[in-house]
Amino acid sequence: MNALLQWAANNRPFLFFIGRFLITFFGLSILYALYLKYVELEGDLDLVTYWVSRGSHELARALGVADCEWACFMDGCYVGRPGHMVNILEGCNGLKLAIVYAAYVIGIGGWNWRSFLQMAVGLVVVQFFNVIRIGSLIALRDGGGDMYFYFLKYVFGVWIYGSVIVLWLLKPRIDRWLGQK
Amino acid sequence: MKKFLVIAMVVFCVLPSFSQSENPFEGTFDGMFEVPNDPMPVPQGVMGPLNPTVPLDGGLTALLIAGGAAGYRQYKKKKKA
Repeated sequence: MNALLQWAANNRPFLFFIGRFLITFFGLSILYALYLKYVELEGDLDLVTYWVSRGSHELARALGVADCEWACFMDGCYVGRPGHMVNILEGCNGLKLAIVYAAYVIGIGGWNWRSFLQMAVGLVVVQFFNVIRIGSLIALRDGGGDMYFYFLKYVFGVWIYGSVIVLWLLKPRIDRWLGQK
Repeated sequence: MKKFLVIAMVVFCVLPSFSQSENPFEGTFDGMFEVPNDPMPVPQGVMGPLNPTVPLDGGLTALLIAGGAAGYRQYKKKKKA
């Protein structure tokens, strides 16, 4: 017990980081869950899924998916050529990853304008990576074959989680760039 | 005697069918052209979903743990400096 208390006393900043990290993660997750409940009661689709599917649709068209259609319903969106569509649900929109990224930024930097700025930019960057992921998957599904499943399961998994980790690694540089000592 | 036994066997076999009032084949074709209410079973592994989802499952907990580890590394670095 004494050893644990000693360790806690020596690593107080790390414990503060863990506290801020978890409070931010659960706080933002609860806010997002409340927002999802609200849009469900309104009979609407959440805006994150809407914009991610719209961006993916535009990217798929730019990648050469002819007759790419886009239709949104209460439970999600369908994007792609008829017969080769991809279903984009709330769990595919990548916001949970952006929340984990934001929790880390707040955990390390604390509650200040630099952290909030990085949080906002990180949200956009993670969604940008997610739009590239889904747009490419639509193009792969349109092309047919097993490549779609391979990319979905392995390549884009590494791609999207890697984007968050790269942002974390770049954080000290971004802090310096924003003038933090 | 043999003839008598054969005739007796045939009579005993046929008699119960005369006692049934309805056609034994009637139930066989009942509801043959009706559409079933339950969804048709699809063999698993043969046909995938028509519009598959693009989930991000399985990695969130790992990412949280990675975040904690990265934070610990940052503080170790700061402590050394």
